[in-house]
Amino acid sequence: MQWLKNRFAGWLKGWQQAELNDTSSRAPGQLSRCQALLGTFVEVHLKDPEAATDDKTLIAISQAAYQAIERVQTLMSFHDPRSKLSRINASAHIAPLPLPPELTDVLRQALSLSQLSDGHFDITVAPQLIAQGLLPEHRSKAEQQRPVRGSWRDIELTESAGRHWIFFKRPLQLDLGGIAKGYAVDQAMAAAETMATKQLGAGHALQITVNAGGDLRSNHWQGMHVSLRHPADPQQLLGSLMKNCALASSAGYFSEASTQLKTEKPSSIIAPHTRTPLALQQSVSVFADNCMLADALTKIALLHPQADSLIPQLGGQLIRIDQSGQMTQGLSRADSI
Amino acid sequence: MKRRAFAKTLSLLTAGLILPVARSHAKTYLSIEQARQLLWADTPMQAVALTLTKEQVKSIRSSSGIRVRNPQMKLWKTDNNGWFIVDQIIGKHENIDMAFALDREGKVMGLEILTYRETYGFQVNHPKWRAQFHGRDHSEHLKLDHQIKNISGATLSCRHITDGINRLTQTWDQVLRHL
Repeated sequence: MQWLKNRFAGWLKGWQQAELNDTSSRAPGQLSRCQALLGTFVEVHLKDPEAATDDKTLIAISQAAYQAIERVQTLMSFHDPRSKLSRINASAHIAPLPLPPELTDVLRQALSLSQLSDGHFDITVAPQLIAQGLLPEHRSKAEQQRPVRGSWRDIELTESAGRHWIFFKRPLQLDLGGIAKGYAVDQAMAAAETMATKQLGAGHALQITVNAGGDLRSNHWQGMHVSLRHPADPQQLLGSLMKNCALASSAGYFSEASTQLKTEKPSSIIAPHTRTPLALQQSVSVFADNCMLADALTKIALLHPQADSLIPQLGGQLIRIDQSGQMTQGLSRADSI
Repeated sequence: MKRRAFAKTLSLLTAGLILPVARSHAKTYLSIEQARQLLWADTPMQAVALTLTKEQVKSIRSSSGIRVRNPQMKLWKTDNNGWFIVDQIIGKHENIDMAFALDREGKVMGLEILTYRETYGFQVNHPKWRAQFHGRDHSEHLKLDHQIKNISGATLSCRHITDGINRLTQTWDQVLRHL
């Protein structure tokens, strides 16, 4: 029996140690990187169709993209008690606080969408997410006793002395989870483009794609195919043609996955009017001309009763996939006008 | 010869029975050479052959709380006493090949994902999780919810990266720093 044991020992060892060899057979002029950021895996793909760009230049361009994402994370993380957002949450109800330009961009877009969607998009639902254990609690015990009843209407953005300011008419807890990832992708794309122009000259042909766990933007999206996950079976992929430069998706598949893993977690999408977690039965994907908008519109697509007619008016194009994998394509802006 | 053929058939059959049938797909990013360039630029380095002893494996396990699956290390020592390590992180639903740079004090200077093989879990669609790995060392045992912020959904993969960092910083503390 010894020979049998030896044979299995060798084979099992080989299997356990799965290959760690340098198998990547990459063409020149291309670079793909992946980093754990924003609570997901952020990929940056660069491709020079003429294969003339060297690795060092590609690395510098990808680095610019990741630094932009890290900056957004540092400003807008709810988890980090030292982030700009956390400091705003702690004291913007006491006195107005100055806003960095990035936060001004995101808050303006968020508030404009709250208004246009009749409050179905709302960045003030954090208390519900904290109660569910999906976001951490930074407030003191005494502050937690005070009920947080405000909504997006209690956020005041003002401009004075050449700066933007934020003030809360009531104590609020802002969470930019529904919009900041898309914004980070936009910022990464802009930083990569700027660096590419600096390194390769204006009119460069470098193809850049940034993908933060499904929030995606590409500068060469025409004719590009993307894979969307089946909401009931995340391993199954359904194809679609890119319809704009940015795409974002929202779905309940990982809530399903956690159920399978017996760590049941409620959905992280809260319906603002009822303040209850949404039972997700489908996935939605939205194409738009920037990723911040696409990201935010996925929440409206899941929450607004008239989403199918509203999304195109707001500049998005919607794809819904139901539990059986049935794909429904929504109208584009041109169709709706 | 017959015996050999029989063993082959048997192992193939057994493989079919015990290997999980998973529709997995792999994504390949950097080659080892590119990751080296990215993390260490042109700093000269030499490959170091190292297989951890049983005692070392045990001790790293008990101080990091993470099982050492492969005692055979794939590592390079740089001329300024830093390390470039290529390692595999095995999660419940994914295998991630990663490259790490540790400085002469054993602090994590950077990490790159080389290959991601998943059964599911790639498109972890949740926001905001600070990947605060840089500058961590063996004295700060990383724990989810403490130094490294944890979020639902992304926990599957992110937790295993955190575990991998703990295991490697302990490996540095107990073995590499003495080499």
